Amino acid sequence: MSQMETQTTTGETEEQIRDEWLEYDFEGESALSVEDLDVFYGNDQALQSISMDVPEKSVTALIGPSGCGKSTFLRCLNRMNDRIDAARVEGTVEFDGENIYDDDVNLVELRKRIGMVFQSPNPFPKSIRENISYGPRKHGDIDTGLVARLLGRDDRDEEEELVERCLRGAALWDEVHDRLDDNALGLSGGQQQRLCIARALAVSPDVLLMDEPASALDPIATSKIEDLVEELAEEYTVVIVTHNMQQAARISDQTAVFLTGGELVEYGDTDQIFENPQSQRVEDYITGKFG
Amino acid sequence: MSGASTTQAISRSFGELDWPARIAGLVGALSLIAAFAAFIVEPGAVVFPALVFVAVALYGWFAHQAETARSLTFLATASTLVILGVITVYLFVKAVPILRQMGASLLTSAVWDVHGGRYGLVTMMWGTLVTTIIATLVSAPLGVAGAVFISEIAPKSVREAVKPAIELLAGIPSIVYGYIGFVVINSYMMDLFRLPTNGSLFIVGLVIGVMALPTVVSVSEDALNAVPNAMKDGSVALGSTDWQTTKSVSVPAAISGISAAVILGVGRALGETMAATVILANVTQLPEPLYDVFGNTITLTSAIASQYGVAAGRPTQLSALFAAGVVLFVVVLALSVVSQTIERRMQQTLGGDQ
Repeated sequence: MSQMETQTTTGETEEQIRDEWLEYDFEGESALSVEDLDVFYGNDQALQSISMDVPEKSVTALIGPSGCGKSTFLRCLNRMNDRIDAARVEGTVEFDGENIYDDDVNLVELRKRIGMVFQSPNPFPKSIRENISYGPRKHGDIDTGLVARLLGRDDRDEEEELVERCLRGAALWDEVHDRLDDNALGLSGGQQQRLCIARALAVSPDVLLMDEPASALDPIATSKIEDLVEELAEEYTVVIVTHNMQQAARISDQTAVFLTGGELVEYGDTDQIFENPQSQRVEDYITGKFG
Repeated sequence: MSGASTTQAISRSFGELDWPARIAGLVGALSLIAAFAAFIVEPGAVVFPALVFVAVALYGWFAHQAETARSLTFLATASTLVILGVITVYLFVKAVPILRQMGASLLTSAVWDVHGGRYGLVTMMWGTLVTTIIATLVSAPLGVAGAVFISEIAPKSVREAVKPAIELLAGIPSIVYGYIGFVVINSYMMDLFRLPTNGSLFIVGLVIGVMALPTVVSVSEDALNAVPNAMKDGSVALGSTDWQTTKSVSVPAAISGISAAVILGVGRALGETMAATVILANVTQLPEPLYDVFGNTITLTSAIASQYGVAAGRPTQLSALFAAGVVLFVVVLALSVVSQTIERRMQQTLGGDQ
C-alpha cells in the first residue's frame, strides 16, 4: 500500500504515523534525546512511544490540540511528572550523556540545568529581588543571611549583579529596576511571566522548558515574550509548548506536532511543517480542519 | 442590607398570593407575636398561639411550600440573631452594677472580697492569661508542625487517614480532657516536682493546649493547602528540594492563615472552662510569686463556673461574674475578628493571580 492508510470501522480514514515524518536531520548537537517515551496516568496512556531529538540553542515548538499530551511531554523533560502521583513514565530521555530517568539522577541538579516556565505566571509572593535570587540561594550560591555575614561572607553585590543580569535577560529590567523590593504579585501578568523567565535564568540552565508561557497574556505582553524567546535561543535550548500555531511559526526553528491520543505525528523544520506537511492529519490540523 | 431585601422579597411574594394564603400568613405572624407576648405575661398560655402557628405553618407547607419555606428559614435566621443579641445585651446589662460600684478598679484590683462586697477581676484575668500563654506555647508549635507534615510531607494515604482523626480529637468532650488532666497529669506532676498543692496553672495550660491542637492543625493545614500548586511547582522546577519549597514558599505564603489558626486556637483556650474548673482549686488569689506557673489560682471561666452557685444570694458578686463574662466575650470576639480578617486577606493575596 503506497498511501499507508487503513479504514476504521467508522469509515473515516485513519493514517498511520510514518517514521520518515519523524526523522529530522539537523546540524549541531542535540540537547535532549528522547527514546520510546510512554506516559500513563493510571490506566490511560497519555503519550505513545515518543522519540525525538531536540537540537541545542534553538527553539523547538510542540503544537497540537488540547489533550494531545504536549504539556505532559514537556513535564517529562525535567521530571516534573514525578510530582503527579498517578503518572508513570517509561522510556529514556538522554541529557548530557545520561538518562534522566536513571535511579541515581540528582533531581535538584537536573532541574537546575533544565528550567521551566509555566502556563500561568507563578511568581512567589516575595519581592522581585527575592524571586530572582530564590534559586541561587537554595543552591547555596548566594548567601546574604546574618550567619553568613557574621562569618565574613556577604554576597549582596553578587545578588545585585545577578538580579540585574537576569532581569535584563528577560527584558524586564527597564520596567522594574526602581522597585526591586516591591512584591512580585503587584506586577502585571506579562511582567510576572517575564519575572518567572528571569527567575529561571538565575540558576543558569542549559535548557528552558516553556509551557504555553503566553496563553494567559494580552497581545502586547505576548509579543514581548515571543521576542524574548527568540533572543534566549542564542544562549539556551528552548522547548516551548503552544496551542497558537502562528506563534509556533513565528518563533520556532523546528516544530513537533502532537495529535489526540498522545502521538507525535510529524517533526521537522518549522517552515516545512507549516508549508508542506507530510501527514494529511497534520495538514488538516494546521489548516484548521480539526483540532 | 440583605435583610431589607429579604423582607421585600417576602412581602412581594405575599402580594402575589391568593386571599386564603394572605390571611394564613397574617394569622401566622400574629400568632407568633401573641406567643411572645404570652411568654412574658402568662407563660402557661404560650401553647395556644404556638399551636395556631404550627397549624398555619403546616397549611402553608402543603399549599404554598416555596413561600412558607422562605418565611420559615428567614424566621429561623432572624430568631438566631435576635437570641444572640438578647444574650449579649443581657450580659452587658448585668455587668453594669458592679462596674458602677467598682469603677475602673474592677479591672485593676486583685481584691475579691465576698464579705466586704468588693470585687476586682485581676486575679482571674491573670489566671486566664497565664493558662492561655502556656496553651499557646503547647498548641502553636505542635499544631503548626503537624499541619506542615500532613499537608506537605505525608503521603496521600497517610494524610487522608490522619486529618479526620485529628479533627475527631475536637469531638472529645472537654470534661474528659479535664478529668484526665486532673487524674493522670496532676498526680504525675505532683510526684515529679513534689508540689505542695493540687492542680496548677501549668497543667491547665497543657491540657487546654492539647484541646486546641485539632483547631490549630486543621486550620493551618487548610491554609497550607490553599497555597497554589503552581507556586510550589515553580519552586521545585528551580531545583529546590521539597523541604526548601515547604520552608521558603508554602509556609511563608500560608503564614497569615497559620497565624489565624493559632489565634483561633488561643480563642478556644481562653474560653475553655471545664479543664480549668476541674483541675484548679479555684482560690481567688494571685499565685505567689506571680510567675509561679505551678501555683494555683482561678481563671475567668472557672470563676464563673465555680462561683455562680454560691453567689446566688449576692447580687454584686453575680454582677462581678457577669463582668468576667463580658471581659471574656470581648477578648474572644476581638480574636475571632482578627483571625477572620487575616484569613480573608490571605485569600485576597493568593487569589489575585489565579
